Amino acid sequence: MAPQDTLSYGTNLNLSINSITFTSNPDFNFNTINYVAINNIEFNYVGDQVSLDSGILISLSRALSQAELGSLNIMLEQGNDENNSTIIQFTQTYDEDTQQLRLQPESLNFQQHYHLSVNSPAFDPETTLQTEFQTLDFINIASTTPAINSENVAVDSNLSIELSRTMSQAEFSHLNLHLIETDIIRDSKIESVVRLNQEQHQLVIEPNSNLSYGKNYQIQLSSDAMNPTTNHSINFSTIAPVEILNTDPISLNRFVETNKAITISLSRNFTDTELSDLQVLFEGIPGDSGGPQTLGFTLEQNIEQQQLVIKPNNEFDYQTWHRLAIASEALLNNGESVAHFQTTPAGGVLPIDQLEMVKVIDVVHTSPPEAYYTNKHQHFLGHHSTNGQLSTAEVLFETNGIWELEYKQSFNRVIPGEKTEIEAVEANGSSTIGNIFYHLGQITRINFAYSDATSNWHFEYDCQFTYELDILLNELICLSRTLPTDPWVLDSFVSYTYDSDGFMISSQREHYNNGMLDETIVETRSYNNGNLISTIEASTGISNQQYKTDYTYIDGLRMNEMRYVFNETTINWELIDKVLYTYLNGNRIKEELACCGFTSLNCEINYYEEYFFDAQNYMTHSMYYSFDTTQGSFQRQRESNFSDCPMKKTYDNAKSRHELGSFKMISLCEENYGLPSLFDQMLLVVKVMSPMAGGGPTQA
Amino acid sequence: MFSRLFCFSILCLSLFACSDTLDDKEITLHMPEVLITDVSVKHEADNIAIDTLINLSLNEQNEPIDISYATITLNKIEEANNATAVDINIKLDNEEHRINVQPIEYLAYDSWYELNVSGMRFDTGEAIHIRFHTIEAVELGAPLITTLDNNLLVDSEILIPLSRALSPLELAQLQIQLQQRLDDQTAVIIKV
Repeated sequence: MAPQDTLSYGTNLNLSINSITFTSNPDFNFNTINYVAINNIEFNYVGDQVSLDSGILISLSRALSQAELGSLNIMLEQGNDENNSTIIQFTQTYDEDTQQLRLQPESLNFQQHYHLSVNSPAFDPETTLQTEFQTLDFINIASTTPAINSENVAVDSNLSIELSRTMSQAEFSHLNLHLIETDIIRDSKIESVVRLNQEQHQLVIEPNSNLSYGKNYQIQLSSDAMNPTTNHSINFSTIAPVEILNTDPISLNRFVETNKAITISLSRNFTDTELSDLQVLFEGIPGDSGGPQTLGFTLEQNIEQQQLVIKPNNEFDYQTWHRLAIASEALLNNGESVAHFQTTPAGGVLPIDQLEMVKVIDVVHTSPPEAYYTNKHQHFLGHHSTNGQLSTAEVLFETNGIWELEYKQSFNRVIPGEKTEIEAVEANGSSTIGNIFYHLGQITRINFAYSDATSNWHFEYDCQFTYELDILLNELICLSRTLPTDPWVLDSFVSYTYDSDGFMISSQREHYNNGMLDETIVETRSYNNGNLISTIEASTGISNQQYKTDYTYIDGLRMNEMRYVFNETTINWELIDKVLYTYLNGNRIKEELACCGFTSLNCEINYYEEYFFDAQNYMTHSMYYSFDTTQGSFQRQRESNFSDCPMKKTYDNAKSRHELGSFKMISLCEENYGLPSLFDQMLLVVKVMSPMAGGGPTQA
Repeated sequence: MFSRLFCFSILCLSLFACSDTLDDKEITLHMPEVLITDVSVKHEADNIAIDTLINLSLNEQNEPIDISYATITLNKIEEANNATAVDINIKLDNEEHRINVQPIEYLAYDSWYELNVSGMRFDTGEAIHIRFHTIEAVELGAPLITTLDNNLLVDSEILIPLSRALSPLELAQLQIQLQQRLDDQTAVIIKV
C-alpha cells in the first residue's frame, strides 16, 4: 500500500489492518524519518578565501534517500546583484557513507561573490540553506626584494616577491615566472629555481648562478591568478662592476719606493662578500734570474676613500719590476693586472713625482767635417711634471753655439692607466698628435695624426688592438684617412699566432691602399732554445717577394743576422745583407753591417759601430764608421759620448711576442731620462705581459 | 490428521450403511431419484473459499425436476467428530440445469465440511456425499517498509506480506487505517 498523502517528517505512524481473513489483526507503528539538517559546509580555502578549484562539501545530519537526493534543488549563482547574476554549473556527488554532498563548480572566478542555495522537501523549511562566499582575490605583488626599479642590486641578492595573498600550490604550479636579462635579446633567460615559501606567501627566485654586474634584469610573472589589470614585471639593475680608476703607483711607473703601499682607487667600494672573494696576485719579477716571486701582503679597504690599500709584508727589492693583479667577478672585465711598476735603484733616486727638471744629457758628436754631426752637441732633455702626469723629451742640437730644437715630444697622461696624449714636433715644423688608450696596462688603441709644417693634414691613423687570453696581442686593425673629413678606410690588419709558450710563431700583415688590399705578408718564425733562429716573410700583392733571415748564436749571444731574398729566376735564396756582432765580457762591442744588394756575390761590410764600456759595463761612448769608397777606407762618421750618462745595453735574442721587445737600455741617468717614447710605451706594454709561460729568454 | 480422518470415514460409512436400507425402501417406493452429473466442489477438495457456492449440475434427462423429495445438508465437522449443520439456501436454477447450494454465512476458514444429499444421485449411480476443506486464514507478516536509519521514509510504501493470495472477497473485506500522529493532540488519517 502506498500513502496517498505525503507523510510528514518526524512523526509517528499507526497502521491498523482488520479483516476476518487474517489470523490476527495487529497494529503497526512506525516513526517517519526526521528532516535532514545541514551540519556543515566546507570550502577549500587559501588563507581565508575560497579557492577557485574549491569543491563545496555539505555534511548532512543523516543519509538521504534516493528520492530525497532527487528532490534536491541546488543553485549556485555568481554575483551580488540578483538581476545580474550568473548561474554556475556544477557536478554533484553524494557519499552515502559519509552523508556528504559534494558540489564541484565547473568554474569559479577570482574575486567574485557567490550565493549558494540548497532546497529540498527533506529540509526543514524553516532552516533552508542559503549561504554566500567570496572567492580568492587576484594576486598582486605586495612588495619585492629588490624593490621595483632598484638600482645597484647585489649580484648575489635574494630575489623574492611578497604576494598580496597566499598562493595555492595549484596556482603556483601554473605560475610562469622568468628572470631575464633585458640587455640582451637572445638567450636572455636566467636559469633559476623558483620556490613558494612555506607560508605560501612569498615567491623566492634563486638564480643558478650569481647575476651579472651592471645589467638590467626583469622578473616576469604571469598567471591566471594574477590581477590582469596590473603589470607584474619587476625591473631592477645590478650594481655596476668595480672599476679601477687609477693606482698609485700608476702602472708602468718606475722608481717606486721599496716601502710603497699600493693604493687602488675604485669606482665604488667592494662589498664584504666581494672583498672576501677578491683574488690578489702580488709578485716580484726579477729581471735576471728565476721566475716571479709571490709577495706577502695585507689588504685593506678604505671605505671613505674608496680605495684598496695593499701593503707588502716586506720591503720590495730594489730596481725590480713588480706586478699586482687583482681578479674578481665584481671587477670590470674580471680584473687583471692593475699595477706594474719598478722599484727605485738601490742607490736611491728622487721620487718621480717630485722631479721637475731633468738634467741635460750631453752627447758630443765628433765627425769628419763633411758629416752632418760634425762637432755638434746633442742634448736630450727630459721633463716630468708633478706626479709624472706629463713627460716631455727634447732633442736639441748645437751648432756653433746655437741650440736648435731637433725634436720634441710630450706625453700627457690625462687619465693615468687609461689615456695618454702624445704630441711630437719635428724641427721641420711637422707634428704628430695622438692618443694611446690602455686598459689594465695594455694598449687597446692608438690614434694619431701627422701634419706637415703648414698644418695641412697629411694622414691619420686609428689602430685598435685586441687580446686573447688577456696577455697576447693577437690582432691589430688600423684605419686611416687623409683628411679629417674623409671616410675612414682600412689601412692595415695584422694578426699574430703564438705557441703554447707564448712565442709568436707567425703573423699575417695586410696592407690596404684606399681600403683595397694590395699586399699580404705572411711571416713565420722558428726558435731554438728560446732563440729566434729564422724568419721567413712571404709577400703577395705588389711585391711578391720572399725574404728570409737566419740568426746564429754562440752561448746565447746572437752572432750574426743573414738576410736573404728568394730569386725566382735562379730558384735560390740570395744574401742581401748581413749583420755581424762582436762581444767582449758580454757586451756587444761591435756591430758590422753589409748591404749586399740583390745580385752581390761579394758581400763586404759597409758600416760598423763600436761601443765602449767602463769597468761596470756601462756604455760610455760609441763610434760609427762607414766605408768611404773614394778613400777606400772606413771613415768615422759620428762619435756619441755618453760619459755624462753611461748606459747599459743588453739584448734579447728571441722576438718572443713582439719585436718591440728586442733590446733594452738601462741608463744611469734613467731617473732623469725616464721618458717613455711611443716606442718605449709599447715596449713596456710588452713587459707587462711577462713573465711568459714556459720560461722564455730574459725579457725586458 | 490422517488418523483422525480415517476414523471419521469409518464412522460415516457405518452410519450411511444403517440408513441406506431405509432410504432405499422409500426411494424405491415413492419417487425416482434426481440424477446429478457433477458437483462444483469435489469430494476431498481443499482450499475451498469460505464464500463458495456449491453447484450441483442436473442431468438433462431429469424431467420434470422435482427436488422436494430431496434433502441437502451441509455440515461442519467439528474437532470432536461432531457435525454442526450449516444453514444453506437451496435454489433450483432450471435454466442452468443446476441446483445452487449457498451457505447463508461464510464458511469457516480451515474447516472440514460435508455435503450430504438424499433424493439425488450421480447419474453414475453413486450417492452424493462430498466432503471438503476450506482455505486457511491469511497470516500477516511483518510490514516491509523503506527506512533510513530505521525510520520510515516519507515516500515509503508499506508492504505487508501475506501467507497466501487474497480472494476478491477477502480483499474487499479488508479494513485498513493509517493514522499519523503529528503531535500529542493531532492525528490525521492517511489515505492508502
